[in-house]
Amino acid sequence: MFKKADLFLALILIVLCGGAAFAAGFGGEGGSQVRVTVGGETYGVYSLYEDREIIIEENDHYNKIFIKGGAVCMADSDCAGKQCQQQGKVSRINQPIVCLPNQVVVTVEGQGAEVDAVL
Amino acid sequence: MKMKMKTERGREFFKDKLALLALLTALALVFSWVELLLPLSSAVPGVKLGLANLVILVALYTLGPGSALVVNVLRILLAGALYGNLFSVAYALSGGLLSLAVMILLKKTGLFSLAGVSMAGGVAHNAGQLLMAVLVVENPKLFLYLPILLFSGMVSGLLVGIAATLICRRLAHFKINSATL
Repeated sequence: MFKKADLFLALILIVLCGGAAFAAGFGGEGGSQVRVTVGGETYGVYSLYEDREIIIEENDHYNKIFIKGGAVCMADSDCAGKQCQQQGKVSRINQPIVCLPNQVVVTVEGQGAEVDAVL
Repeated sequence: MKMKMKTERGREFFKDKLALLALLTALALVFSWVELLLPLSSAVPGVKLGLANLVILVALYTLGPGSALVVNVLRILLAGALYGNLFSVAYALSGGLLSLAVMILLKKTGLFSLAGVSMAGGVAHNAGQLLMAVLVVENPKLFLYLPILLFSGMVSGLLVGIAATLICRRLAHFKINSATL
């Protein structure tokens, strides 16, 4: 069922995975602020260390984000799959939380990132 | 007399192939729907089995790239109309078209087995979907999902490829291919 060339193909693909993981900076360090973007535009930047509840009601969609104990998570949303709510608590700079149907992306950033306003 | 027979045979060929393509499209649709029923999606968006690709692969290897393309595009559009929205169609198209293009190219080289082609197709599918997602939310940080998506694409592509190989072997007994239709 398999050919020798398949093995090379698999190896190349695995190397690609590894390269992508490396480029993504797997894991990443802890950050200090949370950036929430809706539809590509920054909705707000908040401190990671201040407990906060962020409610987004844009484009007829609803998302609720908790910042608590130095981590951020998607507490509630009105999207169909609710995969965003399963993405757990994030406190590192290379782990985004994404609600694709509502186009909400939550990322953690470290020091020195461009800041519009820290609330 | 000979001309008339030729045209009639041509029309019959077309009707048979049309019916077969319609059947395959319907089957691919059902597979997509079944996949939606299975609670397999994890915290990472885009991880799925890709069962419909089973049908696409069989179409590619028994009927050819054109047929596979038709079945794939129709399946995506219909599935989007039935249980999706504009965005899901966009993601599915970008993933499906890239995946099919890669699979057609790899198949042409003749170097890889069906399972290998499917494995690469699975990777390309997820890569295409991720690319579209990044374009939609305009946040390149989504590329952080690339490693896990590439790997799960490999695994699901491989599994689907093995199943498709077994099916194609059975189908060989029925001699279903473009030449004999």
